Amino acid sequence: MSDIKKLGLSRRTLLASAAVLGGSAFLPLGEVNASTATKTLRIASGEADGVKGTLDPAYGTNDPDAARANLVFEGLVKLDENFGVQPSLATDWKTNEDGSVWTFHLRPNVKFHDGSPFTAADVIFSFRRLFDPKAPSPSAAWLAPINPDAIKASDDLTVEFNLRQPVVEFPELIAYSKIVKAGQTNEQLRTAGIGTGAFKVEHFVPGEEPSTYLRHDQYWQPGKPGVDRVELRTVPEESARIAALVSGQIDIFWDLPLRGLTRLEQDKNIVLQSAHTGFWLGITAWTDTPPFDNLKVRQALKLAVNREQLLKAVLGGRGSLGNDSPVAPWVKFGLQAPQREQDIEQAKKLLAEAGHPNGIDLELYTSASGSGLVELATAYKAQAEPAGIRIKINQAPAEDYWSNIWLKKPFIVTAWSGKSADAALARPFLSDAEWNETHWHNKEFDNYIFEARRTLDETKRGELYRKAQELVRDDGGAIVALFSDAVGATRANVKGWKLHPQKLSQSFVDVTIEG
Amino acid sequence: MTDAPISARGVARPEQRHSGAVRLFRRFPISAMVAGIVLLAYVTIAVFAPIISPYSPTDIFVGSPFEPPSSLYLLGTDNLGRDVLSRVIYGSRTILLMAGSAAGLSALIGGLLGMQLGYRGGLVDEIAMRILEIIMSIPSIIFALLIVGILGASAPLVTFTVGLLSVPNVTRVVRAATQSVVAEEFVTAARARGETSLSIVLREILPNVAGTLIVEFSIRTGYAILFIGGLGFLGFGAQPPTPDWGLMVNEGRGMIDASIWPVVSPAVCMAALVTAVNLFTDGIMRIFGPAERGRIS
Amino acid sequence: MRVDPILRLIVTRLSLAFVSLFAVSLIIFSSIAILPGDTAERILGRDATKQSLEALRAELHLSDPAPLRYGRWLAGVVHGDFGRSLVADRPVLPYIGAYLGRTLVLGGLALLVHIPLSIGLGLLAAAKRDGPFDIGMSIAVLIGMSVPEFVTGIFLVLWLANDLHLFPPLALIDQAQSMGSALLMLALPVMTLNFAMTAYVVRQIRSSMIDILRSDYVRMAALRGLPPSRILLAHALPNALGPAINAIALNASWLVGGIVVVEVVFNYPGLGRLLVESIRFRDVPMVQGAALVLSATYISVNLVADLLTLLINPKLRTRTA
Repeated sequence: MSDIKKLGLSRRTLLASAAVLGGSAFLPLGEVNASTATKTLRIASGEADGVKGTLDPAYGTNDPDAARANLVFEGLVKLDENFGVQPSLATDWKTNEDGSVWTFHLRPNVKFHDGSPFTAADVIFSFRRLFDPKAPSPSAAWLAPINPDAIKASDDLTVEFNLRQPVVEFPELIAYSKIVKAGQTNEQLRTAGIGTGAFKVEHFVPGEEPSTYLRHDQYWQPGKPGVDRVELRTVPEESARIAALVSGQIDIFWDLPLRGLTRLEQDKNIVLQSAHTGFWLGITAWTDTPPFDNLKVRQALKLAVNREQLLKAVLGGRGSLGNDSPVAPWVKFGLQAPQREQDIEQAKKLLAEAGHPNGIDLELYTSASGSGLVELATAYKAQAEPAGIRIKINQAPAEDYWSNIWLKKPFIVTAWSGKSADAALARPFLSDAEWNETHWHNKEFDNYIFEARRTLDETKRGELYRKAQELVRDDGGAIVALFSDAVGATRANVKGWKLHPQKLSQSFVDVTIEG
Repeated sequence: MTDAPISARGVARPEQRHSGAVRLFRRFPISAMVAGIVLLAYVTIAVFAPIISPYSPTDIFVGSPFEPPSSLYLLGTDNLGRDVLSRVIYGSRTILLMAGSAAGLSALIGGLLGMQLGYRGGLVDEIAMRILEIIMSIPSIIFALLIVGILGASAPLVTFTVGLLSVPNVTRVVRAATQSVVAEEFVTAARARGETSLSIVLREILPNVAGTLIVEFSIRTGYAILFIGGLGFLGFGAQPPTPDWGLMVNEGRGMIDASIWPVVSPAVCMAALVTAVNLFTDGIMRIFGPAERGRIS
Repeated sequence: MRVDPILRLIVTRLSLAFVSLFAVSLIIFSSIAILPGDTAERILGRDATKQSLEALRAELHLSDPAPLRYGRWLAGVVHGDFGRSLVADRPVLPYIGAYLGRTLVLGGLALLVHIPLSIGLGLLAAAKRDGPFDIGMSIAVLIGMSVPEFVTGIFLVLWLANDLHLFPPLALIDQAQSMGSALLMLALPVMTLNFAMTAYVVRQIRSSMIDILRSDYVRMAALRGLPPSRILLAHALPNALGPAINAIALNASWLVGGIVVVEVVFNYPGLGRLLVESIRFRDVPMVQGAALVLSATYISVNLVADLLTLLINPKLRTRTA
């Protein structure tokens, strides 16, 4: 202190200058916008994707990818909460007498982010690139009926799809396929694609967060979007998501855990939303691999499940029971049937008949990459034990699961986002499906699906889909155990957002921020 | 608490070869004795886990999920309705076995290596020391992550890796202690008598560095518990449903809003265990004299 | 001509560091390449399609002998080319640069707090020896050394961020609009790191100071009538600093490893977290780059610490523990 006195500073001055310096640390770093402050919407997904992320709607595989694609791109049509089809970039559509030719009329005066007009050429480009033999999109598998060389533009605003086979629910089929501006390379589309969506990319580098998006001033819906800017992040820890909402660091989460929400429920600044979804959790086995190739073994595995207990254990009661059909009962064409119950005795009997009188030993893969997957495995292991089904659980690291375990191991825990009846049945269960997790090749099932796709009469179509579900339920290799509810939440000053039951279909076009 | 015995000076004093029991206990602080009792309790619990534990650590739904502590479930239940207390009790087995083995491995190899190098000296010693230095220049956690991450995490591999990574530290300390013992007259005398190297190492050197070795083992145990706990937390340790404390903390922290007990219980147990080990280490360091050492890392 | 011994020391240590770095690069490369099993299969999984395996083998030149691949990788590294990330399909170096920067910020901040904090606490504990402060400090030190960092981190978030709302729970730095709010966001990880590090230095300083305060040198100064604060700061402290700096230096190198867990706990986008993630993704070029750079940081910090310690205390010419 004595030396400092020599400098001529008094204690008071010293303290004062320290205060000023310290206080100025809290001044904004950059310039403050002189005009009205930018309304930035801060949203976050639950899954993390690290450096894997992509903006290209043809190759996205996870939740953050879907969130990005939904901000920047749009499809010809979109699905509402009940899997009904709504116009988007197409205003109306019609088909010929058997559903093999579909004609879409495109919305006029739609501009891409760079100002160029949206025309039929962009539609053709977007669909053709999905079938690029060098790098086909995973969606090419279920879009197989489309012949990429037979998509024609009758004029700038009309596109005609000449399908390889009739598809009566064609608009539903292409609802997830997005339109990109023609002429872009895969490199561009990975990080800086141009689309027609309400937001354009400001900055996206895989592995860097947040990615940011700016309002598309020439967006075709008047007065939309309601915010100027969007910041997208990932928050993998569930408790961190809750903490981020409470502290006000994030405005919207659409992927919240089903449990531990009391803090949110009690907070006046937070609004919770919940919805029934077709998202199902279950266990699948390769039906072409012993011991699962024996039907009785598969039946035994299904009978060993105690679904009520699973609902409590895995979803905390926030969901509904699955009945081994991937179509939720409340979805159009969903199978209404008596609920399958646990029957340990029958399971044991079936195993014995199948040649396993002393039970069987299986290795089940799971991972913490989605909520409930580990709980499902652990709970099922205990439930199946009394039936002589001895399970060893292999928990893979979360980031690894969907690339190295799913589709690559014979007995795994799986989850599927909710879909319409056709997609829910076709994508996992058609014989040549890219994502045929159960290696199931059932000609009868395939025929039901193909015929349903040719049947314009809805009642008859419903019958066919129901028959298909019965086959999956009785012969297939999947235990569809539970359907989950979805829970989302926003800060109270965020208006206009509705939680879409499908995690991958969230929209932020109508959101506004008050205050 | 009196002076912490972290002095960089000092060497095993000759008279401590003949420490009497009385001298021993006079220097052994009460805190260390309490710590010793705590350690004994941990080991007992681990050994008698099947008898003490109210439920099986892997039985699901003995209660509903996330129940708070009650007379039925002293520490509540976790996300699968498993009794947290039972999992914590069995978890003590996992950690004590792994950390003890890792420390034992490093003490064994490091001890032998250190004594050999300290006794022989010369070029072999020089080269070996350089190699050890180089090994020590990789941060251990990176090395452990590489090995365990690539070969696949399992309890034996983690134990082995952690043990191996501590060998250089132990070697250095034992070597230094050996060097000072070698300088003493009784070793020269033994050589003059024509004793073989092996017998000198075993009869003259080992008893004198035993104290250092025991202290090192104790330090390495504490370090191993922290390291293994950290690896378990990162998901590179024992796999579920094994009740590994680090893993339990990781599994529980995502659902901490539903219940804090599945996280707090293993965390507190781990911290308490390491605390006891550290206190105990301090105590035995007083008995066997301050050796040349750096930080506990 | 007589070479300045200090210069010779610096050169020796520097060359040793280079050798270490070289050896480390060898160890990192071989631990991935030499482990049993086919590298391509290990990366893509055993059931990968033949096509993708072949493509990966070609991209990584796996048919070349290991020493050649190592040489190629090393040559690339020296020129700043760390290869391409298998997952991001972009060059590795920019990622490492960005993530390393953030780790250095966190680590640097932690050290910045750590040094004055621990020295101050150590001095206080020595000055008020055996009083309630000292005893409290001893207990805090013991706990600091014993509690794993991930436990500390989780509890600090629970208590300070979620319960008391003193700090934001997520370190979303880009959301910080001013230096102050950025510091607030980093406060919790910095505190977590300090909890573990400070314990050692406090203990070290305290015991050194106590020894020094009892020494004849200090007693003489006291007899001469100098005020206690003067004795503490001008006479005692400089002598205690040697071992203290040694301890701090050791902490700095511990930091490079310990920060990995803290980054994962707080989901902080630093090099440690990138390393863990890329190991899980089996992104070999990224793993090699991140591990090498982290080790290089560790070696550099060690080198600086070594040199500082030796320069300050010439008596410790023999290797300190």
